[in-house]
Amino acid sequence: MFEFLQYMPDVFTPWNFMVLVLGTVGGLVLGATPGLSPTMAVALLIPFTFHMEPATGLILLGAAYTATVAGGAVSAILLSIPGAPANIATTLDGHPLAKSGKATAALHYCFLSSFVGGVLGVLVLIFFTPTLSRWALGFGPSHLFWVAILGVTVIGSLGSGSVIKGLFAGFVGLWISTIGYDPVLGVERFVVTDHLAGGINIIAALVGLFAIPQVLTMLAPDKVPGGVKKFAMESQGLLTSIRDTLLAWKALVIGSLVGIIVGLIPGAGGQIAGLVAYDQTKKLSRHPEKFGKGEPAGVVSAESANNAMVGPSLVPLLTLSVPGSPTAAVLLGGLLIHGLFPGPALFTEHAPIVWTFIDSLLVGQLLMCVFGLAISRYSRFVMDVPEFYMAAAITILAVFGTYSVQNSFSDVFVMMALGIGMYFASKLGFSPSPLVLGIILGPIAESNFVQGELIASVGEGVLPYFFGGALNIVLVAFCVGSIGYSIYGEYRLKEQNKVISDIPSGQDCAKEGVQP
Amino acid sequence: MNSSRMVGASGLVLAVLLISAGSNVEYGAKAYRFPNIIAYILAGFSVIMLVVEGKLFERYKGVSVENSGVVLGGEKWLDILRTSDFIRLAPMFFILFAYLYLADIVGLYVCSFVTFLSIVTLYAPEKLTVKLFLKYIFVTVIFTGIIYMVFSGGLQLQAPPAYLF
Repeated sequence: MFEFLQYMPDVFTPWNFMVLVLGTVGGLVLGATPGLSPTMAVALLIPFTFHMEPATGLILLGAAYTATVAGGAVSAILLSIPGAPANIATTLDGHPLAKSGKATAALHYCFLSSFVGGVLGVLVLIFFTPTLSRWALGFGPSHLFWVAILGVTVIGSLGSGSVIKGLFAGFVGLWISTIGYDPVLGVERFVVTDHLAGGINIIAALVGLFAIPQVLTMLAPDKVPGGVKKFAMESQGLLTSIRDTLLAWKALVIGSLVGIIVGLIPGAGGQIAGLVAYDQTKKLSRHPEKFGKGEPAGVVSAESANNAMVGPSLVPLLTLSVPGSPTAAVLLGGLLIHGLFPGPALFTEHAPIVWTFIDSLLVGQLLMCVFGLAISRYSRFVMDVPEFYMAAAITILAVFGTYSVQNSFSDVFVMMALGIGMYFASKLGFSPSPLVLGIILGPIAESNFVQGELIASVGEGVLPYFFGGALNIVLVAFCVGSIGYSIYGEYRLKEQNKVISDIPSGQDCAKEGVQP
Repeated sequence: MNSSRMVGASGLVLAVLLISAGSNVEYGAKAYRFPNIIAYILAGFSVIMLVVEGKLFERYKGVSVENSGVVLGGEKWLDILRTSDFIRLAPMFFILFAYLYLADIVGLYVCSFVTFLSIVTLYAPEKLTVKLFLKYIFVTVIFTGIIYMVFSGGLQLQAPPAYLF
């Protein structure tokens, strides 16, 4: 149980520690840069690890994974562009907090909650890997299908627009994900041009749907043309931020728990961790109406969840070769190129390497917090850059970042098409988050749907398979409940607004000659 | 027609198009089952949008939608075109299309340089002077250099083959 302590000193050898620090700082900078995602950062770093020892190479990849997830919150908070799918929920309250003059506080909440969630996640990885991997194994295709659908339905309750538009966008995303080759039968679908032959790349979708509309918005005239909209980077003491973060302990606990559970589910991915945690925190809050307007608990829950997800997402990867997230899938590639094949033998034949890697994740959380808090003080320089420079830089970075994933210009065309389309869709009240989540979760939903159908066709039947069983019922209930509760909340808000608008104002009364 | 109804109607048209795209297939019909299910669900959502947000049936109840606070759809589209939002962004769209079209013909880095310079030159608030333009060129060179060092130098990115660099 305490085998991990035996290999802790290996993390602090000069070379390994230097790589850990470089990976953390580099990851924070890459994550904070709009257009560069953790998956991309880890994928781009793999060639660099060719010439390193396996443990050192894995340390670099693990540090980059941890730090880019946290660093992505910087651009989410300051620029409203999430650095990764895991940071989508952070934009909902992080950016409004920054706009209200609490950018430093938002960044502090982000790194402190990321640290707490991340440490808890890695501790779970260390102590409960054997037990948790057995539990996660119990998720069948029907359960994974409903988890994917739950991710999409949750979006409907989080968008700033209407619930129905959020659901519509989410399901459009699910449909878009079917472009390309069918995952089971290998049939080509909706490939109207060669550029779509490879389907819709997730990174292209993410960059296109978030970065390009933001670029166009930066250049739009309703802002001071080219003028810098600076947030007041207030001076906030670290102790104050620690106190505020601890005061949001409920959000911290919910976020960490959700991140751990979601990270464990093989193939489900950590993308929904932040959103589910945010959704649950909002629903359990006494003041849900404050969410979306700069509520610190929103940032705390989202960031603790997406970092708590990191450790557990490696549980199915290290034990079953099933990645718990897209970035974990890339890490699998990193393991394989060093001749490390996941499975029970990994912890016996390569114990020093694996435990050193896991220990580095733990130390990496502390370094991420320290360097993150330090860098956040200088993150104002990101905002001091004039918007026209930022727009140009993001455009070029988006193109290079997208192209570098598969060395394919088709991805760049898709990215730009989605981005420009999203800009106009946002004018009609649609938000990109549901769409991108639909694209990400679509393959998971479809492959599990098809697998479930195949299993059910020789067994109990499709409907009993997908709707029977305690876990299925619970997941379906969450889906229906999430939609129903959100619709009820929207209806209640509309009624409240109607009541307020029906109350005559002082001006109206003056016109009528009536006392208000 | 108010904008919510236009959105709902457009959604319905989109769903119908998606259903028809997934229905008239020569082979592999089974592979289209999942996207067709999604398309049917989208059609359902569109109908809900039309009824709930577009207040489709309230017109027939004699309830006026003019005072519902919803902008008329046709005006909304004209507004989008008329406002300087779209006109201001038109050069950006042209730059983006040209960038994507020429990048793998002329050269990725050359086109990136020109694109960056074009965007900052066109959208900078200050009136363009020779001194400012030289400053923009300098910044563009630095930025492109950093991009080259990171991607081609550090990450060994293979730029698409083209006439120039």
